[in-house]
Amino acid sequence: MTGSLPPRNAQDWDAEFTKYRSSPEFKLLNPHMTLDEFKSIYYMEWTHRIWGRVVGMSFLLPAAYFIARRKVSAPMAGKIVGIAGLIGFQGFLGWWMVKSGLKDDLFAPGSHPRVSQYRLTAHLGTAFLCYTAMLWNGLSILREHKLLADPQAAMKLFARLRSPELKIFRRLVGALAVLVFCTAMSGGLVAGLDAGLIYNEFPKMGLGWTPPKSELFSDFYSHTPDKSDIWWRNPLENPSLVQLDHRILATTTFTSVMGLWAYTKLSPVLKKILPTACKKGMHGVVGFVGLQVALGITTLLYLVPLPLASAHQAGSLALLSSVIILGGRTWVPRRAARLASQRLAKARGPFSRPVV
Amino acid sequence: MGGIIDWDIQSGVGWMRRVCSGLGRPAMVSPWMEQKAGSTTQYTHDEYRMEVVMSPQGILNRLPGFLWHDLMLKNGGVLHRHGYRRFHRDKACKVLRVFIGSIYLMLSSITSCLSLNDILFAMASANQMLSILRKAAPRLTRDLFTCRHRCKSPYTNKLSKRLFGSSLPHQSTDGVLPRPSVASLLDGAKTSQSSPRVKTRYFPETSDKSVAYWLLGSAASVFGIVVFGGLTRLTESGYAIFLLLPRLC
Repeated sequence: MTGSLPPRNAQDWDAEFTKYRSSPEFKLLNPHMTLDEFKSIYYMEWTHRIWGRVVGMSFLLPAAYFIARRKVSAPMAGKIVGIAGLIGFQGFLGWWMVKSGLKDDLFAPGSHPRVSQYRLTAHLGTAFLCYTAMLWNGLSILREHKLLADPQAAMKLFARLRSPELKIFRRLVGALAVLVFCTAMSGGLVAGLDAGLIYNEFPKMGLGWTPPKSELFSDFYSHTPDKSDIWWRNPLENPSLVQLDHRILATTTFTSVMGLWAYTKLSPVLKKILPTACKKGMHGVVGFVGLQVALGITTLLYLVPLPLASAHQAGSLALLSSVIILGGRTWVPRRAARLASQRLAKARGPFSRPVV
Repeated sequence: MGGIIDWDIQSGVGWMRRVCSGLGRPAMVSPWMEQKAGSTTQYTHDEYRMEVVMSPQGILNRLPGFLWHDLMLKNGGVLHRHGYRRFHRDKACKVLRVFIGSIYLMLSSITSCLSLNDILFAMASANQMLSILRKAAPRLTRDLFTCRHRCKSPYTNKLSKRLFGSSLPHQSTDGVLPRPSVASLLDGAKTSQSSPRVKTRYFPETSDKSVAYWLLGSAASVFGIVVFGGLTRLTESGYAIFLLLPRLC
């Protein structure tokens, strides 16, 4: 891991700066960059890579310790190994992504040197998956401890959550989690294509509600002579369509969250049966989605300033966390339920009536 | 009544030593017994009776021993592997039968002039006393011989399996040796049927809370790096470092 150390003296810095000056990014975007400016962007990238290695080490070493000292249950050990593999894959994706920005065809006129938006979105998606897995498993262990401390109350809670009136709510929370993830990924595509720098108005785009169809599904992005790939190349490579898709997904997410909240507030059945923890979780989701929509619109209107854009990204992860937390309170954990019923049966003894 | 106990001192002492060392307790053998165990002199019956059988130490060592052992075996417990079990069980049963038989003989010989009711009453009371003794024995000796301090280590299951075998009626899943009671001994078969997993597990049932806190801390770190990665992308800093790339390209 020789890339772990930053340049020390002026000679090393010069060497690095020379290397950077040979890249397409420098020649086309930053031809007037000074050494100081180079140092600051170097440290940004260096910090990001070092932090990635720290995350990897701080996950791997304690994981090995916990598994060796048998402080994890068997399924959790498997999950931890899976997350460790995901972190390693993320490192590879980061390298692969940066590599895509150094291709020679980016020197061609009219092309803007950037990392491929596919690889950026893959890198973002894997990071989000890592985060979700860590958050979910951490919370599930704490939840298991709390439930198994009082198996009787736990069984009552499970009976309540399993009631058929709550089936729709439980399914909708799952669908919401998937929707939020998809919106975040479309946001990654937007970031990868710098598609936030066009159509900086809301809710309209240009003269109408959407740009014209010929612009959205243009032939320019097709790679085949018979133009058969337009239907999938444009949503992934045409900045206008990518931005429109992100807007559509974002407004759909917002409407879904508000609709679900209205369902929990206005339906008399749900008001009675839904546990308080779920209601509070729903409230948190509503708060974060409102914040995220506000941040997104202002980021667009102000032409993507750095602090707002960064806050919008952080907000997306916070929104995903709140949905995960709501899910943890809504869905019945199968393993904890099985353990709780076993413990209850054991406590009651062999001659008691069976636990329903 | 010669040969009432043809259990030589050597095997008795050896048995007690093996039991106690297996359980991690000092051997309950008195010094004079050890002394005698090394010798090859044979006792006359009277000497043996007075010095070994009827001494307080001798009674203490023997009475719980074969009675308890017999009961342990009857209730599915296993104290030793292979040979000792049958050898000592047979010995114990033989001794007990002969002992009880001799008492009855004695009683009948001196009470031949008594009525049948009296004899039956005497037999019943002797039987009752014996049954009380038998019931008391497991309580006394289990508490003496069961070691609880061992049970907290994660290797208890393997060790206890080797010592006690896998046929104990309850094997609770967190590896603690169960405290027996008469009622539980009675329905030992039922509970072993109701708990589906009698085998010991390598990993615990639930993960430690420290694992949860570590996972949540890692998640927070990933949150930070995601935000930082966004900043890196926004400042277009992604190409500043070329160290790894040329080599791997």
